[in-house]
Amino acid sequence: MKHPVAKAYSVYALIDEAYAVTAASRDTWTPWRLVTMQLAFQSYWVGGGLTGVMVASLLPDPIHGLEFALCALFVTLTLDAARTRKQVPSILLAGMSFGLAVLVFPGQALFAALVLFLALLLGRYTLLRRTAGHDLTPRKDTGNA
Amino acid sequence: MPETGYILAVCTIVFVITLGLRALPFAVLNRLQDSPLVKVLALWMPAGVLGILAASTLQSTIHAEPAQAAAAVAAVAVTAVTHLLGGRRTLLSVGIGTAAYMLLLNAF
Repeated sequence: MKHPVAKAYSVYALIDEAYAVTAASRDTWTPWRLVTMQLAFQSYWVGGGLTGVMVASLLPDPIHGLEFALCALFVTLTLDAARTRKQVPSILLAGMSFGLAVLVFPGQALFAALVLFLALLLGRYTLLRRTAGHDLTPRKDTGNA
Repeated sequence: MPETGYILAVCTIVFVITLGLRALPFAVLNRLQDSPLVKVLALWMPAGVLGILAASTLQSTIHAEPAQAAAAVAAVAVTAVTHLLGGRRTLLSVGIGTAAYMLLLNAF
């Protein structure tokens, strides 16, 4: 990425999707391809948003219950991320974090849960490293993110 | 309706924060790439973070419609079962799960 404008735009357009797609196949990216991909993502995003606004303005009433789609999406993504038994501790720690966050910081539960989860993972890391000779570097076969 | 200057100021602040947050990984990540902690976190975090997001969206669904909490929980179960038995087709699972929730909401 040489051109300053292209570079600046790429920093701005670094979204989850762009990262995921590029990280999945590292070596095949030319600057042109990267910028084109980012422009495409941005137009999907903005175009999708505008389409949504237009369709919504045509509807007489809000459709009851449609907002559940977001929850359902996260349920499926969680199931996809947790395919092996090795992910069970993470899920349990995440559940503990959210439960505690809801009880202690009801107004900011999501943020508190994420911070708690990170803290618990750091604790898990320290604990595992202390139990001697544990090789914590992930092996290839365990990567399923 | 807020004034134009106000809107512009908000947009500028949002832009600067967004750009800063997205520039940060470039500055930090190169140095952290070999850290064993970062590698392990990359393995541990996704499932947990997504689980927290799922729980949080479920909570706000229930919060919006407290009388229908059972419907929301049932719809989560429908989504999960569809996803596991239906070959992990995200669009299908989300569609059937959402349809189940809407159906339960309007049926009772």
